[in-house]
Amino acid sequence: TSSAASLQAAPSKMTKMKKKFTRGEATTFISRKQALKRLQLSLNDFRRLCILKGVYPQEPVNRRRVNKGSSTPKVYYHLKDIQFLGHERVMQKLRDIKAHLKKAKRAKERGEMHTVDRLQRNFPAYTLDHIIRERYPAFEDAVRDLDDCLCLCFLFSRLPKERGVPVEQIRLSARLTVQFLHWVIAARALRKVFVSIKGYYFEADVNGVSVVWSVPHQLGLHDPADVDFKILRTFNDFYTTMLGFVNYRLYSSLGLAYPPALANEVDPSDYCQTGEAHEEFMASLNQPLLSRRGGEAEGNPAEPDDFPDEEAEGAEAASAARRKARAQQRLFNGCRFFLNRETPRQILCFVIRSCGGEVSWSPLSGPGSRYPESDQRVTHQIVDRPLGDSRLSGRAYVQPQWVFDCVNSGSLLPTGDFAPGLPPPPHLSPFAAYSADDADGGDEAAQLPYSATRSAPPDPVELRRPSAAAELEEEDDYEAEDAAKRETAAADAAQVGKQQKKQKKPSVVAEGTQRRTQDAKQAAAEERRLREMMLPKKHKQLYKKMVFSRKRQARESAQLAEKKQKRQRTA
Amino acid sequence: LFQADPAKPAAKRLRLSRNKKKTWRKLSRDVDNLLPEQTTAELIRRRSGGFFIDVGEPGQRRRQSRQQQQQAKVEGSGSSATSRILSGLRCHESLPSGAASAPAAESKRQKKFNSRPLDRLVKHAAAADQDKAAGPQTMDLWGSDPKPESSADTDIKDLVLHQMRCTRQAPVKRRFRTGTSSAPACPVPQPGASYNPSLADHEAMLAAATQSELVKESRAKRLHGQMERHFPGTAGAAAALAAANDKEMAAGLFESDSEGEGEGDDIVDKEVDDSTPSEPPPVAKSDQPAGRTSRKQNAEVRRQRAQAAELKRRKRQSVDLDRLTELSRQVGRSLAAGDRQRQARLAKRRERASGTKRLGRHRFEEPEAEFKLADELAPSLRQLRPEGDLFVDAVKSYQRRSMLEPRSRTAWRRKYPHKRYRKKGLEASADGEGK
Repeated sequence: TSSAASLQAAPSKMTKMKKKFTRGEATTFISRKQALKRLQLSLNDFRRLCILKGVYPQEPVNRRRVNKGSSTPKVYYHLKDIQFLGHERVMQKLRDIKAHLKKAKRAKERGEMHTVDRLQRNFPAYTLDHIIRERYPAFEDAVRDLDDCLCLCFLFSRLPKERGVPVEQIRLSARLTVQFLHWVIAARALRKVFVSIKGYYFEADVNGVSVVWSVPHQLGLHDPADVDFKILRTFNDFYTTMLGFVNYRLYSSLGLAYPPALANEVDPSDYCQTGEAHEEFMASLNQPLLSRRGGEAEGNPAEPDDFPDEEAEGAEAASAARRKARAQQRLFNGCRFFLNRETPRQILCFVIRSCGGEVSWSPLSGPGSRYPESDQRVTHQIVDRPLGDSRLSGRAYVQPQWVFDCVNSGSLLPTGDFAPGLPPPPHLSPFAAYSADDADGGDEAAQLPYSATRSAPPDPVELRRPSAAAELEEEDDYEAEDAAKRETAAADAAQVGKQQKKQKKPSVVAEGTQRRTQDAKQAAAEERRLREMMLPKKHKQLYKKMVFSRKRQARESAQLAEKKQKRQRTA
Repeated sequence: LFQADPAKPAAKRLRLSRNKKKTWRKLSRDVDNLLPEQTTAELIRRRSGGFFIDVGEPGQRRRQSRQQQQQAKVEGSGSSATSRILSGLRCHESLPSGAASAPAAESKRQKKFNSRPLDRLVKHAAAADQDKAAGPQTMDLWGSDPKPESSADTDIKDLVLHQMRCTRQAPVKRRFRTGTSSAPACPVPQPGASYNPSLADHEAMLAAATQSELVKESRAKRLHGQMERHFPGTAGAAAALAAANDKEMAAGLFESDSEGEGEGDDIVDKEVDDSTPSEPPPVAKSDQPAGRTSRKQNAEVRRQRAQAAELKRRKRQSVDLDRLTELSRQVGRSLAAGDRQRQARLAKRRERASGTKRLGRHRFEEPEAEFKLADELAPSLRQLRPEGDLFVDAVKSYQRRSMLEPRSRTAWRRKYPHKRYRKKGLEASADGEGK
């Protein structure tokens, strides 16, 4: 019939129904479960592969569209990334490993130990060279990623054996990081050092790129519960391979032999076996390296050219930076250091040698000592405990912080401020930009020793704190509870927060009452008492607590000073 | 692994009828048309008397047709035994040039595959076996010397070829999707976290720490207040119960407690009476009356309000005519404000794009900055006790740059031992039989 015919003709004229979720975002992303199914990998293997290849999860703009209407939180990857993973031959190796483990398990359960041994000997291994080449097509790309690499390698080099990480991996990380440090020493590339409560932070100039890495303190590591070591091990696998290649390039750019060899013969008899001598003496960071042509490596690296009169905007800053860098490179030229046992030896040796100095320590501390303590040419001795009277003449005794502060400032600071036993000046962070605004009378006080300002009680009204009220809503019921750790911190810092909103950066306290005359002191004291009376009730308690604790500290330090004086008088 | 892309529609399938005989005949007719008159095998058998004549290296190819050259390019140099033998055969004079299976006329798709440089892919897969022996450090990965092709390279080439044939798709190019986050890989702590900080830096750090603590406290207090409003008296009761519980648990531990044993029976606070069940909290009465009356009332109120608003508007209009300049200035200001809001929105969008992505179930939480109180500061480097863990820092750094998604530990599920039991019916009947 005609109607039937018309019906038959209609579909070809009508447009096709657009089905939902067949185009656009829904087809660009794929969930992790789907990816696992597609690649036929276990979750652990998939994670490992993603980390090695640098494939990371993505966040689609509209999760509902991707998940076909549902909003369950899922981890999504780009479909093309997963397709790309499919070509990877490491994936085949992962499957081989799985099959291998299955065989080993079966053999073990059957009691066929010779099979187990054979399988262990022929365990399939994969190399990551091609992946590194693919992810970093040029050497500069690898240098840009060196931050991550170094941080993780340094962390792994400090791990104890019982952490579940294979010993070989720890040793490899240690070896590679030591090689990198040797390069920094040879290239005089160190620019900044910051000693924080978390660890040491270094910045070096590697081929024009600033590389920042952290090194933990030598005391025992905590046991972090939230850290998945399997994942970090995979990262470390990749980064150790990468660091090996990067080291090769860096060493060849300086004309040093790689793998590195020590230029001079060493005598390991007191310290270790001959097999371990190379590693131990390299780790001491105090031996010169062999150059490619087979002599000792040259001392000073080539200095960069100076192009004066550049019209660019940042020309002045750039030239200042270059001048500072050059000053840092020859900072400790001619200085001879001796490190006491209680100082962080490896770190200090690295920093001093990177700036042209010579170091040594007691042979009992470890291998690598070059001259004894009694050597007449020693100019500085690094000490970290109160010294008695046994001081040798002709050398300055300083705390370790002197070395770090000199490097950061680019000049030799007066050693008197850093004498052992005295509290040193504050260790400022070279990574923070201290603006000129801080210098309105605050700069001077900022340079004062921290402990000196502690004794003076804080000025109740002049203390200015950053804005507090913006965040808080229910302030009225705030009460000072008993002195738990955080409450004392609150008492210390949030004294007048409510009253002043939108403050500037905290300016410094303590106008140095010690410097005033008696009359001025009295006047100041009167003023202070007046202001104390004017404090609102809530703040008075906190203020009282602060004053009490500071007075107690002042009393204690006065007692200690008295004792010292007594001892000096009797001695 | 080699599944077709779900997004792209599948290639056209041959429409076969259900009649198997007809289909088979059709197929066989087509196949016959494609085959040359004499098959390769027959030719070889005739000319060589049943033996293969292997002329040697495929590099010594002479008099090759363009088709054969293209095929050689596709199949590579000496990748598999078959192709080596075939190419050797082609070299022999006695055999016709088209003896080996002639490739069909190249379709557009195949041309695309054949012209794709596979060498690029192979270059990325460096020769593993040879370098493994020498050690990676002796090789300059970014050097310009050509790397020798190893079996690993040919393996991957074969793999890729096979995939291309099956899926009829070119291999996927490498896409670099990282680098969108502007966060540094190794974040340096604030100046106040120095082991010997200056007073200003230290106070700033403590202030920041106090701020976060105060915010937390205010949030907890707000929750507490809300609880009190809806369920009054419970908070106090909970505290009293906890105190009573502690008292009960510590009973008899200290000698002074033994005197008050007789009075120790009032374990529960007297204020909370357990004898009668507690009443549910009173339902808060709303101001609005419910029902039809209220709807009428509301409608009336609304009408009146609308009338008043209309009057007001008319009045305002007449006033506004006198205030035109002022109004134009207002408009300018509101436009500027709108502009600023737009800029702020764009900036926020850009920040979100370069910040931490939301991957998976958990949100990324910035870790609390470690700090040391004034009395904990170490007088010297030797006496410094470190705070914080750099491993946690590393993991957080990866999460901040969206390289790892934040995970939480799953609760440990208890596994019960398998219990073996026998069905009651089986016990009696199967005593002598079976297991």
